[in-house]
Amino acid sequence: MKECRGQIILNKQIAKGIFELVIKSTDLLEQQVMPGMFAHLEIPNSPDLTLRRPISINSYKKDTLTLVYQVVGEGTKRLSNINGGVINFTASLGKGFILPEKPSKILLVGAGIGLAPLRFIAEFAPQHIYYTFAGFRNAELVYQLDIFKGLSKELLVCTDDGSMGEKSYLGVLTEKNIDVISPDLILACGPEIVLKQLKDIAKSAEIPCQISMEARMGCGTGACMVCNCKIGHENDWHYKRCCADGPVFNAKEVLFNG
Amino acid sequence: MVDFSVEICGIKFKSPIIAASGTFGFGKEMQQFYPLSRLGGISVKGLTLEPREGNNPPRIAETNMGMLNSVGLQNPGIKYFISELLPWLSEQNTVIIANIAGNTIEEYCQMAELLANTKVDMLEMNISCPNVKQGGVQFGTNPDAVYKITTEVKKYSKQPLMVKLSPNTADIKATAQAAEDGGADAISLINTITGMAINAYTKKPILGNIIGGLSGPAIKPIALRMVYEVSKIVKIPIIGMGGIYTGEDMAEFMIAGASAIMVGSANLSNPLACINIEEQFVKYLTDTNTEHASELTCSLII
Repeated sequence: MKECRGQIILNKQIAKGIFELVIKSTDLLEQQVMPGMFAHLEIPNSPDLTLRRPISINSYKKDTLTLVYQVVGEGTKRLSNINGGVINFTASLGKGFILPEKPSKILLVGAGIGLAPLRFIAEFAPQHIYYTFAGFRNAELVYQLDIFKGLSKELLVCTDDGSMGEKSYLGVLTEKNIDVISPDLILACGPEIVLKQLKDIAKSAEIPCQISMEARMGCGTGACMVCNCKIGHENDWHYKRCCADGPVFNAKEVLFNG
Repeated sequence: MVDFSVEICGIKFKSPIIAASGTFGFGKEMQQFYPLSRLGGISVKGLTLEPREGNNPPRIAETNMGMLNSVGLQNPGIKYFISELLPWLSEQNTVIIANIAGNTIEEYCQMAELLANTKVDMLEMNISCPNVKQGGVQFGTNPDAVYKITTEVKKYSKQPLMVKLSPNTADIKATAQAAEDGGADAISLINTITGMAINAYTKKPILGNIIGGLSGPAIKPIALRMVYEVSKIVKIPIIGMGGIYTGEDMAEFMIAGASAIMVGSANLSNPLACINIEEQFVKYLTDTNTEHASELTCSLII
């Protein structure tokens, strides 16, 4: 990990409220950037915003980092209005997905903005066969499907309202198709409700599953103990740091609240 | 070449910049960005007698020019700190300050005793954490309670004892005086100011703990005022903190009466905060022809 200074070379809307941000920085060279890791962005020209914004890595090559983010609050709103210039960020942070060495059948399940980090998995480890299940609230929020189509043997899409793909939810879609695909591993990212369903599906199908969690973060490096995830088993758990011990955890060990 | 080393309670700090407790873990993470020897010292994450998991998430909320946190002293416990973390930390060539927080006076005393024969250089008695139900701030708001706990812990501490004061009190001068009267060797202030954040649309609090502690640039004027007021009545050294983000902020705290300063929230805003502040501070000393950083302490011109 390193404190980096980069140039914004692209920041464009790719779906409603969803932006692709490309940053070029020589500070990224010689870094170990792994799928599932994230960058912590300082919102340019915004000293009043005291916290950085953790954004997962969508793609990475040499000195170029691609991030996909959704506008959810003041920070991302301001970020979406920036057309270029310098950006300060820390990268790359966190523990990413642990990928098998021998060629395997991997199911990627991404819900909404949670689809973004899954792209870099397939680009980083092309020796595996990928099946991708992508879920969105509606067709306006769909992005990068062409890219995932190219990276996957099969791509299934569902929306909550049926405006694109199947009218279904990712949990239902996964449950319906898991036996046919019979993956060696499931890697997922999305809202907790989806991840909890996947945890249960993976458990009953006896398939290893890793999930990328989200939390409100402070420092992003593990020092401030702010972004806690409940990890362990019902009667024996500890708060682990989402930023440094995660964001990717073994689904079996994640305890969801409620 | 400017000299920005300072001596506090007989301990030499090579710089007046100390990482504030709770924003710097136990140093391991931040040493990936710069050698810890660049710092005057580190006040470690608040330690308790037993390990603590801390509060429910979310534990942080951004506010205008500030942030609220409600971590609630998540830490691996003092014994783990002494056996597993301190050996490495004490070799980093910087002053190590152990921040301790107890549920009872006895717990504070036990922790001071456990630390007595370790390589910890100084104790920071945290009687001002707003995020725990027991202990913490309950000892820090009432002058009589501050006096009592300071005299008791002083019996067991071998290292200089610094008392970290809470701003959540009617009269900061009275608690500072009580700490000095109780035998404190130094005072650090301020801890966070209690606050809260609400989402207007969901009508829910942002923090899992509902209430948290406000820090960052938003609280700097309050912190400066408190350092100034306390410096006028106590003789023991003051370590000032509260929203220090620049070298000039740091100079202002020293001018108001601090012998050294702590950087807290800024570490969350930027992992290189302490280094950037140091560079700006050195430039300030040069620009103002200040030979020794210590000349700044209590140099307010009225």
